[in-house]
Amino acid sequence: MLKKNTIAEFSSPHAHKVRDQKAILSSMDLCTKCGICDAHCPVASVTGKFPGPKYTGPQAQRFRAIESLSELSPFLCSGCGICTSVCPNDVAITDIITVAKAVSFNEGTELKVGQRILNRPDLIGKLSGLLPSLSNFMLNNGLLRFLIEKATGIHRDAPLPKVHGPVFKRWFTNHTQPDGPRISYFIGCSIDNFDPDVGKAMVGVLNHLGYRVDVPTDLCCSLPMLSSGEWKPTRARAINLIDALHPSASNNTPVIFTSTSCSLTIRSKYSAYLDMTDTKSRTVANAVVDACEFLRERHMDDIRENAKELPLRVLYHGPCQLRGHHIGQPAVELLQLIPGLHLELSKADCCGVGGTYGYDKDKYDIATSIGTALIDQIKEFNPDFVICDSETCRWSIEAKSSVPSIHPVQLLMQSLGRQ
Amino acid sequence: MKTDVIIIGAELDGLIAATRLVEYGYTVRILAVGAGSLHYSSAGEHVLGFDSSEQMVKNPFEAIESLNSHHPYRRIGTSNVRLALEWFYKKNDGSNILSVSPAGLGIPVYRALPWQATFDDIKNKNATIVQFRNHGDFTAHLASNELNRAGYKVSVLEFEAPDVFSKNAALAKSFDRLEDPASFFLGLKESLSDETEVLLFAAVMGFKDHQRIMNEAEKIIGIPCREVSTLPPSIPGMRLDDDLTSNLKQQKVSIHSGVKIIEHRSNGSHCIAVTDDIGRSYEASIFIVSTGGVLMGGLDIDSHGNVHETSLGLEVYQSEPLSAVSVDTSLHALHMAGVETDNELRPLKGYRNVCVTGRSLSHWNPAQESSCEGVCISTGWVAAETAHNQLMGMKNG
Repeated sequence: MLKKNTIAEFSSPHAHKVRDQKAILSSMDLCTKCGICDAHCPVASVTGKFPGPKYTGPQAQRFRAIESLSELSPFLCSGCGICTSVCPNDVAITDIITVAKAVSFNEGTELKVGQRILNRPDLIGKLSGLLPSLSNFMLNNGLLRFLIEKATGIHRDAPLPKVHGPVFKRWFTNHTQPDGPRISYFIGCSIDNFDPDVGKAMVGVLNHLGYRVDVPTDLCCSLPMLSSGEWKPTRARAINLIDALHPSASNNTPVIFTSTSCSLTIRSKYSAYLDMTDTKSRTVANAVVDACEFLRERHMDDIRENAKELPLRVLYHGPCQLRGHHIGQPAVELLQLIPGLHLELSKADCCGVGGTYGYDKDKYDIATSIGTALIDQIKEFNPDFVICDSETCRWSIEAKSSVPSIHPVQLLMQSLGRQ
Repeated sequence: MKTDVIIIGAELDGLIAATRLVEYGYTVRILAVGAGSLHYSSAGEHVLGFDSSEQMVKNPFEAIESLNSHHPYRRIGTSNVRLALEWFYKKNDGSNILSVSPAGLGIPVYRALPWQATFDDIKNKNATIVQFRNHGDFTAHLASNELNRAGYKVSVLEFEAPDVFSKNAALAKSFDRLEDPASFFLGLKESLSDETEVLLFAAVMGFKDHQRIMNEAEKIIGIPCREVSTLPPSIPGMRLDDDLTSNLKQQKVSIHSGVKIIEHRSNGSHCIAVTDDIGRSYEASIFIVSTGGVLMGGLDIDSHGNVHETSLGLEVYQSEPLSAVSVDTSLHALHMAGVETDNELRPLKGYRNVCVTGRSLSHWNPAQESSCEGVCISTGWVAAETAHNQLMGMKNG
């Protein structure tokens, strides 16, 4: 058994850069037109339709500031955030483009039915979770998927996840925990129904380290709505979530996330897009911490001492949103502690799926082309598992490579839990 | 979280220092705002192309003595420059060759990159430059006009690229994805005049699969194929950046992007930790400042024309306040401004466990000397040696 850990001041060192919408848009003036963002943009490197982040972001923004533009290019951006992460001058390129999407949406650009549906993953989860086997049958039925594509624009081969029903919550209710320091875990809309194994592994790792885990809420962070520009209905949802997480956050308890995109949304997108910079929202934002980031900062020694041999071949792919956290790739540092593990790193920048971007029938081919380099590398290396921190990336990678894809904490749990 | 060394910035010098330190077995973390200036590096490996009287240099090592006595090369010494370049380039004959610039001019480089076009390649030969239609980052006629004026026989062939892209990176990556490069190059061969003896492409012939693509081109077309550099962002520089960073990642070096260092903690003589603009702290035994000077934000100019070092607030040498009125002298003064160090690259005034490298150093002008990669590589290498010596010292008490 590991030693118990006390939670000292955790929130303040993690205060994320607060940029509201005004700061986002005015960062366009920092652009020197060097073109490094264009050179790294995964979308611009596979299609000539997208003029690239330099134009779509800071350059077009100068015109948007004067008059409203009728434009399609912002909607071709997958929102991966690579442009922002390579910019030497700290221009919030992806955020500028996302603001343009929302403005365009407010001015009447129609959002596809499919996107509207995908924007509400919590609702999809609740409905499909009622009858998991029927839902899975429908999602795997070629004819039905063809009809769904016609009706909604969701591509027939889009990598929709397997529906499990309310598995995690049922398990968690009956789960016995150590009586250690308390810590909160955010399950969002995906863990219970789509990704219960990730949740179980996370709770397992935290229990192993001596923590008693609370699950304060299963509300959705609403990222799909935010990134596709559907902002009006998002605010109320965001405020609800902040309210639900505030009690643990204000108690100086870290809130652990296994989804890099949900954590990024609460850390920095609520302030960037919805101007939620009030004390309560900031308290919650500062308590948010990525699972692997937390383990790297607090428990490297514990894991080094207790990790047992895992003779597996794994390929790690760091999701694009991880770059937005500015924390490097903490999972890699953790996985290196597992003896016997043959770890190869992804040479590709992006898997292509971009959240729900690659689900759209008009963007499916773009997403597939972007992902080719990664899928080729996986097929060549032929690992036991692909390791990735983001759920939509994992679903897409698994669908396209047929190699099981898991979260880093699942592998850690395998190693820590071995007898 | 603590590592032996933290490198601030992802410049060539920082990547070199990291590579060397990993060879010694140290743990290294790189903290950078964004991508480094290798993305601008257009024509390969400049060590010293022009001396202080702007004469073209044949042997860079012999010309080092003519540089000002505070120049980074003079600080670290010619023998260290030789050792560093031999380690990196696996070459030590000490001579420059003339590469072909995007404008068709001769630029002295220490080593031609694989397939980089040099004047030896086109001497007394019929050369053709391929201009891909829509490729906005390269103008073959600019190069051919200048080369013809200088007496070389160069013509231009316009040709469809495999995909409709106007920018370097997208074009280069489209070659990586090309399913049947053989038939593409066969089509190109059929459009070439029989007299062509050497074929020049813009430097976009593949990104990660550059070697495979160029081998295929030479095999199918049957004559030497070379690349001429383009406007930035430049693919040869990006290839090197990608090679170095991928190798470092495989060697377990953590690279954090989006991290801007603005504060630090010290115990008087030593820096203990650096802090970024969102309050995260990073501890290490040694810190290397590789922030890329004015171009990349490592040095900043205030409204009075005074230059500042942005990450650790180190004291900066500057010959005169910069002014927008006298641009010529100011530009030179701007290049020469930077942090002054001792021979081991530790700042003259500052912490004992900090090294400064590359463009953040004073007393050199990469534009005038054509010396950028050479200074970055050799100062990165020397900083790693300094760090190694200090870490050994700490270990031995």
